[in-house]
Amino acid sequence: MAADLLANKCINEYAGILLSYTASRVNDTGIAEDIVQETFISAWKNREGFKGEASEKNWLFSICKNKIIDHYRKKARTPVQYAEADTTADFFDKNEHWTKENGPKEWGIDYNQTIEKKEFYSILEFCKQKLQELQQKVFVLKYLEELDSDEICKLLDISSSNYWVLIHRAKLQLRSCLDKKWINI
Amino acid sequence: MLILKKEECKLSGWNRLQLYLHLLYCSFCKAFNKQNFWINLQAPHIHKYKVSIATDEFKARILESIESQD
Repeated sequence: MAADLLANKCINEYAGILLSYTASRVNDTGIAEDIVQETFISAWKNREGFKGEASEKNWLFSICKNKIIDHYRKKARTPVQYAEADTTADFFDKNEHWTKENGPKEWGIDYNQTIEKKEFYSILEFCKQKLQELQQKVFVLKYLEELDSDEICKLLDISSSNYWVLIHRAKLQLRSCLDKKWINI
Repeated sequence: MLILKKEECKLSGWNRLQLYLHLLYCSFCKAFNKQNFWINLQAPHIHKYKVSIATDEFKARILESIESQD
């Protein structure tokens, strides 16, 4: 009975924040719920191994992070190969220089400051979701999961040069979207 | 591209010089460099305000799946 109460307490305390964390990384509520459920199951199965070196929260997040990476690994094995069109081609002229229309202008903000506004993160999420699928995956794995390029290439089964093209295009798109939707509204 | 590569690995001396000189005269890349840094700063916090409500039904489902493990 005590174990059930403990499980219930953990679920009540951490299911919500784990779901928020996961949903921003997998873009699908159903998949996010599955991952969170698997996280708790895994934690329960390995509860004897939890020695308390980390907090409960950190331990659960660590399991969840691994489940998210497993999800990306499984998805990469799905044989859906398609060419993603370069939507950033218009940003540059034939000499690969920024065009006057699309070249970044100074924003006049404090670039060292973290934003503390909920509206901003809704817009950032919106801009992230506008990225093409592979661009989004690479962005999430690099900047949210903090994997390095080698790990991401292995996980997604892409070449190093493909990785750099994807991350470059993702950043160009994000910057442009934030420029229109947050800075210059 | 060098702006992104330097996030992850040490650029060669030649690439570092190329980037430094380029940023001196290209206002677009100079702005991109700063804005890229700023985006990197915000990105890890993207879930901070995300409200994903774990419903009672979902929590009950988790508890049920745990109980079925034993």
